[in-house]
Amino acid sequence: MAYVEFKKVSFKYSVGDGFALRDVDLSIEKGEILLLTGASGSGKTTLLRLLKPQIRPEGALLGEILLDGKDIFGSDNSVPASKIGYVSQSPEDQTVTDTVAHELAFGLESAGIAPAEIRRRVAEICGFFGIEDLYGRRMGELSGGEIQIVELAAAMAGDPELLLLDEPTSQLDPIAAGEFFSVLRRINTELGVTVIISEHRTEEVFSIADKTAIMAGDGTISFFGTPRRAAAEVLSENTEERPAGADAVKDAIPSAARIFASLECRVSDDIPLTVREGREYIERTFSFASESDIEITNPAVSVGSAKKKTAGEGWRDQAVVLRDVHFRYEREQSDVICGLDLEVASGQVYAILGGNGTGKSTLLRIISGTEKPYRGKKQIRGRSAGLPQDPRMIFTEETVAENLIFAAQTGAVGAGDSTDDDGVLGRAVAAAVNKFGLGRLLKRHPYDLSGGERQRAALAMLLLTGAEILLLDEPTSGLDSGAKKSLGRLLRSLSFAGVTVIAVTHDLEFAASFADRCGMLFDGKIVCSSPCREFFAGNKFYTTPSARIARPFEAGSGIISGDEKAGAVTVSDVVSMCRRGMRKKDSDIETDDPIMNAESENNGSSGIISENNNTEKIEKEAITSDAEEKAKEGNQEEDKKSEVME
Amino acid sequence: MTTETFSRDKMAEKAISLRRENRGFLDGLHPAAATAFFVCIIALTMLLGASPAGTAVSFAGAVLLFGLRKGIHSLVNILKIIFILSLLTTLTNLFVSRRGDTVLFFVNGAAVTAESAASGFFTGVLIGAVGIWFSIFGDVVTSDKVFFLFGKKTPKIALLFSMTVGFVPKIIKRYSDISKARRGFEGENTRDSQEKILNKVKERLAILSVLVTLSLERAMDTADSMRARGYGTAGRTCAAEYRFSVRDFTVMLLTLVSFTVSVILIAAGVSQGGYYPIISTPSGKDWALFFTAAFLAGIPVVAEVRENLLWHTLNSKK
Repeated sequence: MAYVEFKKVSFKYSVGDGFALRDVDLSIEKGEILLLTGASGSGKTTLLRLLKPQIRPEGALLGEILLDGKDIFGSDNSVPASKIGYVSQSPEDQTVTDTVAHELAFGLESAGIAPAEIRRRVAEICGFFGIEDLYGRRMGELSGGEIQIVELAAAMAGDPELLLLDEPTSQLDPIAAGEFFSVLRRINTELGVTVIISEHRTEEVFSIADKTAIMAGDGTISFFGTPRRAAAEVLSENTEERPAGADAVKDAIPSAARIFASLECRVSDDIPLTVREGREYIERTFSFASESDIEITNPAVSVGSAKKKTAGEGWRDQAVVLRDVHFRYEREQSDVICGLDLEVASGQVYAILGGNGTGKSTLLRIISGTEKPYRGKKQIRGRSAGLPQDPRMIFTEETVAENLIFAAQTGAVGAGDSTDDDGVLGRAVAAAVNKFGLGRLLKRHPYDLSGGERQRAALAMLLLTGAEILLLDEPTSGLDSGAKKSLGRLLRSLSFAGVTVIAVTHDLEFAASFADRCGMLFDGKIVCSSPCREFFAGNKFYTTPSARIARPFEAGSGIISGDEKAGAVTVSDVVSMCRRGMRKKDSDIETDDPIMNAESENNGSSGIISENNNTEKIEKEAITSDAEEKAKEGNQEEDKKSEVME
Repeated sequence: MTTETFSRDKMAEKAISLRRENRGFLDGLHPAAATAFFVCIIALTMLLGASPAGTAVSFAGAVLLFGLRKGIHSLVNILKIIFILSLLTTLTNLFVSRRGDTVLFFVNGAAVTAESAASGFFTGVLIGAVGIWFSIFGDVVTSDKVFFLFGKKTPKIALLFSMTVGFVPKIIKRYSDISKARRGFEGENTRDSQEKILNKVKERLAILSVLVTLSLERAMDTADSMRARGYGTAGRTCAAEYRFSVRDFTVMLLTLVSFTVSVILIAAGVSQGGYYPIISTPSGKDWALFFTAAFLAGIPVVAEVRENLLWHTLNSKK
């Protein structure tokens, strides 16, 4: 019998109209991990919270939710809080106490467990999670990643049978997120806890989940099955086969699966999900010529250098220059930023990467002038405007429209143009509304927008201040992959129009796809600052899964040649790398993969090129957001690039 | 284009090294002793609110303790806020209160007096003193100590108490976060050095409005998180254990004695001094009241300094 079962569940909030959930049918066995994914605002949080009576949302529920065969809201079934653990996405808001020790013990104290027993369990759980060194600390001193591990430990201290995790890693850096997932896997395999996790960042979770459910935008579940099947259906060539809501999650499918889908033009249940499986697949299917054969014409390298050349022309002027900058918050503390050098050319999209708590946000504040370094030199060309990690902080007015007007006024005042010329301001605001697709949202309160909408409104405000340098702090946190992509295109189009963008991000895939240059902040310095492709190709651990998949083949495929270190770092890079390899050795593939072979026989090498075109088109179709049109310039630029590639 | 060069000397002038870590003398006390101290000192500060000398004594104690615990840098920051607050209260009081004998000048026929200015200024200082005491209170008496004291029998009061006590430090941090975010949003180039006061006030109000909205939103999440962990369902227990030692007894005794004596003196009608009709300080024997008040406010300061010195000698003997 299924452990958790949703039977035709529909749910409607008491405030607002429309169903948040419609006809949801789900069943999970004991000890399974269910991954819940889908566009933001599709009802994932609602579904999770319905499983926990203590925080059940207000509204009307149709259908039945069974836990262990009993109705979860039935009068005969009072589920104690500790039986179902819950960890939410915001580390700061879910802490209820001041110290780690008390945070771990809080749930147990509420359940009325004897003090001696609590101390034993807390000691045990600290050992299991390896957080003994955090035990004596204050919650306020911990980084986001540490808080999430402590919250997970606190939920586990209650010895729950079911864990509900609501985007638990949305504010964590890739390393901390990886750590979180490995702890989660241990909990599941060693303690047999059933887990339901909702995530936008599904690269790692796909491989550890037993089941995957995809939620469509209207609150229905459009797919429920194994992760492999989910990857196969979402990436399916045939639009009708794809479950609804697939577009929003398409780019969150593990890179290996996306590489497989683009190369095979078919999907099957043997679709690879992990880096290892991806490598095995490429090993099996492709063979690469030796370096000498390739060096004559190397598309990847020529693309890299072509890009650089165009870059060099317009980007000679530096928008931001920092030289030997030192900063600390208090004299007695150690330096947060220590001898940092940074140069960002105007019109560039520069991504700053680095672990939680390395001072990335501090660096942005130094650039914006909010924090003053105690030594060093800073030079800024043009006005800057910053987007804080929580964009809610910059919305002071009641509606989106008022906020935009406020931003435009701020800009006018800053430009010394304090004569309030409403006509000019009005036009600027109207243009921004169009560009960012905010028409529908003008009357809404900014706090009621979804993450993606809020991000767009905030960006519009930044631009309305007349800023030429945008400083973005974690712009992708909480966005689904569709929204991320349209944000990326928006940034590209802004950069095309000459705006400099400096973004701090944890999202390696995002940086790899949309940044011109990347810098890694470590030990208070930018330890390597290089063009995006070089950066990720050069890193071995702190890099995209695609780059990790491609690594063993790069030497053979000739992508690394001479000083030009430009490797495959995104899914499309790996795909084009493989295509080149395949062309060299058609005969080998025959034995390995009959379908591929048949295709290449039919079309020859020209067929491959047209197919490349196809995937490009499909990718573009997949962008649902209305920002697409506005990012057209960006697209055109990309088109140019892909032409060169072909 | 703006180019700025920063030198280390500027920073060095500002900061004189003091202890940074906040695990001080009070943190090691039994929660009951620590809570008793804070309740007494805050109550006494309020009781002596009408007296310039009383406010000054309490403020001095609060500032010294805060400086010892948090370092000079944080202290300067908080003093700046209090100074602005005091200016505001001075201004308000000048136009509201017309009492006092020392007339400075007339506005529309109404007298503006030195006494009402002083009274207004000290109102700001009083609020500042209470604010600092509360902020140290929240820092010392962490949630686990609150629940240790009240959680078993009255979880609701414990929750209220813990939230109130933790409120000041949390709000201060959030205020500075929002203020930084907004400054970053506007970019430094929009900030003129000779910005109008009206704009500054507007900016502060905007930050306050965001602070309130954001705090309400976040409080909902926190409340959910507490409910998710079964708060208030069964009889609570408490995992933390504190032993009431001789030291706790001593501190509690000194606290209660000095507080009780002060209250008795106040009740006996000892002159406290005041602002009107002219500013006055207590005379002669009446200073006794302020000795006991200073004694109370000085307990943690003296203990803290003593512990620092002790560490110093212990280290140098090695």
